[in-house]
Amino acid sequence: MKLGTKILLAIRKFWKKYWKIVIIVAVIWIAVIILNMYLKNLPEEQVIINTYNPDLPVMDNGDKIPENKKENISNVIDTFFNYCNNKEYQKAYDLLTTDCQKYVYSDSLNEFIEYVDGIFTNKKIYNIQNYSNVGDVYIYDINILDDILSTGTTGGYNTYREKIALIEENNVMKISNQGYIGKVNFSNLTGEDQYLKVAVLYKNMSYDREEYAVEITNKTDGYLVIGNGAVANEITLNLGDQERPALDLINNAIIIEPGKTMSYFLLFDKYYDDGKTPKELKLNLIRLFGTDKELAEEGATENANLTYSMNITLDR
Amino acid sequence: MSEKKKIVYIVLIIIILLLIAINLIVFINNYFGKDNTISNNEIVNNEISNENREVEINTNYATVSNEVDEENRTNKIASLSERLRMETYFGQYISYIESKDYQSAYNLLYDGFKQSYFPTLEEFIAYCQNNYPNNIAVEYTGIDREGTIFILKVKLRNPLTDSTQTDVPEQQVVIIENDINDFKLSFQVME
Repeated sequence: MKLGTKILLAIRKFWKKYWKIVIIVAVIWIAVIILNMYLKNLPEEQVIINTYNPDLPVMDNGDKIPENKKENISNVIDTFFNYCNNKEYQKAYDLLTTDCQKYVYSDSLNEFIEYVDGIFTNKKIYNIQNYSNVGDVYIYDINILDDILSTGTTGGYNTYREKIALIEENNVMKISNQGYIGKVNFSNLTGEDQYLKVAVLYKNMSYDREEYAVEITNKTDGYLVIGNGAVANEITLNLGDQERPALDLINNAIIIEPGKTMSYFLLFDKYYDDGKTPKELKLNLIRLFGTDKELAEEGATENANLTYSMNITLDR
Repeated sequence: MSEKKKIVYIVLIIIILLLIAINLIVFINNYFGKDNTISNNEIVNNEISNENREVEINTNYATVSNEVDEENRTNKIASLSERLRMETYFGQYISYIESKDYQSAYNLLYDGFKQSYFPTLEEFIAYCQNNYPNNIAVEYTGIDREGTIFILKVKLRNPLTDSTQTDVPEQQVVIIENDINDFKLSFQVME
């Protein structure tokens, strides 16, 4: 038998035996080719490289803004900005939180107008960047600048940056600006002994400060000196792993006349997003003097009749 | 099933798997590994090497050549980093100026900017003729961003008359990108 005939017979034999498998292989192969052609011809989705993500916190990537709040937040900021830009003062003012209106602007629209007019001296544009988020408080950096697209930066341009917080108030997203965050009221937060009574009423928080409102009653017949800046750390805020001294006691000395009750504001450095919880308000050098006012105002520790300390627990 | 049959089946399965693998490789190469795609690393390397460099810009020197068809050009621009995209956009603007296609350059200007500085094309043409050299070499000296707006810092020289040491004033160009290859710009008007 010739070789050609042999090959032919072999192919025929193979085909008879395996024709089903050969067809299956061919079908699969053709299907894969067709699928490839289809996918190849699909329009390629173009994803532009963009590193600007205003809703991604720069300080803490773990604490992100919930997806369902992003749009609301950017809308409120945009609306507020446009109202300010268009000098629609009342409408912009209404978007502020109640605490912000009260603490930052003393419940005065005129004070807010002064703020707006000071910044929005001409048409402005803005950009935002989420800075950090603490619970339901979303802190943004807002950068307000001259409309550089319209000027091409001809003649230079001014920028103004501040921190704003987005906070829900009665289920409505509001803005707290100029770095102010909000207020926390305390009830029955007191320290008392036979010489004095200290009531911590509330605290106002800005992004980098906390201000405690305290009411101090002198129960003695002499003068009481709590702080006058003569000694370091007369009053401190205990944050657990560190203590922060009260600021500017030299100019806001706490000297209480016999039997009087006085109100004071104690200011401390503290970042809102530092993750630290204030533990105690510490009055480290309470000085009891006699009735000599001048001696009390000098506040020298060695002239005091009695010195001692008092800690008021804050995180009850 | 006989041993011989088993072997045949195994061989056929191997052939099928090989075919699928070959097709997959072809598909991956075609779909993900386009020749003209620039990887992120390449972009980063480009950016580093391009720091403070001098770039000759005319129709041939633009980051993405105008000769490339529009779709290809859009694909290429999309793959560039933000900095290179902005430089490409400004390159496009400069190439229009160089080729005296003032209308196209004018169309790239931001509307508010046009209204303030060049309400008519003629005013723009006059400005270009007085302030841009005939041949333009662009040195990119920096870039800032304000949200979605970019501020390119550039020095424009005439490569035929100015050396790289020639002191020319730095100018700022403001660019906003609405989409890929869809942008508007304004620039610091020289008094």
